[in-house]
Amino acid sequence: MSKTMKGGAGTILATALLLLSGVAPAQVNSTISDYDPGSILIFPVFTSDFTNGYASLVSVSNTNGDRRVAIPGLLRGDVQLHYFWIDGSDWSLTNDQVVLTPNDTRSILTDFQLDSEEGFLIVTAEDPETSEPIDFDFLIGDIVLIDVAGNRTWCTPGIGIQGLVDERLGVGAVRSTRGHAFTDAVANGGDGGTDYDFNGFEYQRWPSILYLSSFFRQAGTNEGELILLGDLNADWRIDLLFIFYDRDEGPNSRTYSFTCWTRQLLSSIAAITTSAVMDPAGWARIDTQQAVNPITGQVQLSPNILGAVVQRVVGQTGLEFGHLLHHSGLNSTHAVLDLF
Amino acid sequence: MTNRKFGAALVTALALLAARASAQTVRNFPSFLEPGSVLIYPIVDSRMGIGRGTVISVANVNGSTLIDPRTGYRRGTVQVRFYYATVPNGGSGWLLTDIPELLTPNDILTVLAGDHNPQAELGWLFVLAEDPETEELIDFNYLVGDEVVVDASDNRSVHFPAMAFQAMYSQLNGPPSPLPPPPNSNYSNLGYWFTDRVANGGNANGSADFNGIEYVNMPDRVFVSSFLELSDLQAMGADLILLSTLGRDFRLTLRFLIYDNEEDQFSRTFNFTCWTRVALQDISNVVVNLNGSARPGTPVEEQQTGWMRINGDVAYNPLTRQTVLDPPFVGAIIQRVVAQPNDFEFGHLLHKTGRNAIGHNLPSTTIVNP
Repeated sequence: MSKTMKGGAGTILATALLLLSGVAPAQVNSTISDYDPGSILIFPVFTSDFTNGYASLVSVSNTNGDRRVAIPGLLRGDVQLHYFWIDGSDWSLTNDQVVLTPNDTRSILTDFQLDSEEGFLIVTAEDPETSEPIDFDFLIGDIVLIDVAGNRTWCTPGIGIQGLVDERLGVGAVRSTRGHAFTDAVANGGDGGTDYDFNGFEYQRWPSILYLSSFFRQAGTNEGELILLGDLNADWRIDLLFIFYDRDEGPNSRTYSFTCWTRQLLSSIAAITTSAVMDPAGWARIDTQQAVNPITGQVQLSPNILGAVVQRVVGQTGLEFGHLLHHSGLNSTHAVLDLF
Repeated sequence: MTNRKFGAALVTALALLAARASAQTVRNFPSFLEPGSVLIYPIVDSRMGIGRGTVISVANVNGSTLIDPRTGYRRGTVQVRFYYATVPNGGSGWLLTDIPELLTPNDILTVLAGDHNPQAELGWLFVLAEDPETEELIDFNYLVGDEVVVDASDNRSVHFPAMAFQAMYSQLNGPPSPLPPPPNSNYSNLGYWFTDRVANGGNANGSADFNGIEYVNMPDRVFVSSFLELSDLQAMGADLILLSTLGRDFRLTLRFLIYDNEEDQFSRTFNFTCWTRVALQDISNVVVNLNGSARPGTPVEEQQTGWMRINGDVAYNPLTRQTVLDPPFVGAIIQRVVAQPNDFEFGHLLHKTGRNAIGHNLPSTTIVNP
């Protein structure tokens, strides 16, 4: 072995040992935190169509109560929320920013904010001074979906996704004047881009498998809708593999594709959900297969998705209910949200 | 360092790095929406009223259908034991009804609580994963569940996922050997670690301990992410559901910090035993006036809401005179807007954070202070 090669190997070894020791930035292999406070909240669905009786009430609270003054006029617990309203039909964006002071909460009705549309909402934590994304795992939130005409409501929490700079770098991270680490800064292990990277360095990774823990047989007055969103814009088609399990544990597979965001009847996804073998209830496992961009010809394996389910009793007002989908694992493909 | 030693060190370091890169970070706090070995349902109404009931589902996402020749079971089979914890009217402790059910691989069980548990009571439910052969608790992080609470007479319904709590041993040590277990092994014939065995770090008390060794710890702090101002109690309502996993006789004191629309902070203590469903205004009257800003320029889309931070303060067992500081608890919220001809009702599990260090178990035995 030449001296040069030894030196190279030595560098690799030193880097490896440094990484093992936890001194250098290491990837954190944790997935979305659901009910824990996060730096990013993803609301899988919003509706805004008051003319037809649909509205949503979105609430975000800042659980950071640090009222110490960072510099005159700035409190350490202040945070700027960046709302990205993504139209599910074409990924068109509406965004707005608002500052929450420590322990502040903001609840808004979508109909005053948006035109008639539905889709999903992402709320990110930013430094109020620079508008750069920060590791600020203090945000919690929920959304109430209102169908005024149908006299129905249901509610789901925002999916909490935590920033990972503090976990990786501790006090060594580059921080804002309020003391919060910048998630995207190259010095903190970010890529310095304008997107949000769910890669174990900037933010937690997305899961590899989703579960629909139960659904009633889609017959008679039972009706259920699956809500799914991906991290890829409307140029991409996301291909999924569903396996529906009936009361006899029989697996029934079905592929399904969507673009951007979808809200689809379970019976439209798979007719097996209407079968008597699903009586009274079945469950489903959802794996992602690939995403295809027909414009560029690009293919991405194992794209990232999140979702929720809402079920109702047709003809019965008031009987509508839903929740976030269960999940497991870490997706080997990192999710990237490009919202600018 | 010789080249050979250096090379070996490099290989070892890189292998460790690779292992580290591939392994998921071990969490010793619960992830409610990931499959678990224990499920908690925050409210169960098994009183059979007209149009009233709770539909409970548990699914086994383990699909291993290989037949174990020693037991005859498929390897993904699990026994789930339902424990209905109910609080009798005027009672000061919970009563348990336990019902075992067998779930084969990829199986789902959906029951109407009133049919499944004929005791006709109100309370909460926990479900534990057991080995179907020995009925011992096992590390089986494959259970997901949910419940729909329906009051059809008032056209109301809410849906909660079950709170999942993961067993720890397989997270720390991986799965057991695929070889048949020797006699008195610390894993089952179907290939799952026994969570309560001393050899696996358990304490052999027959219960599921939330101590970060057998199972993840309970959360440390709970949040109500938002609630609507209850300015008109005829037209609006909100109930908080709180449950304690400490044991049947403990009375918990919780400390609430309630924040109004102007970030004003109001503190309040509240006591309950075992389980409660309480109207928010009965916890604090602050919720009826959230001090919404009358300033000109307040955006019309902003609604009057507040949020809450809830900490466990102390728990006291009047029978044993045992005191536990910072007791664990979890919960959910149900809100409604009363409109003619029907009500709007919606709810979700409470947010949470941190790891509560109080070691305790279900079904409850003794409390171990950290």
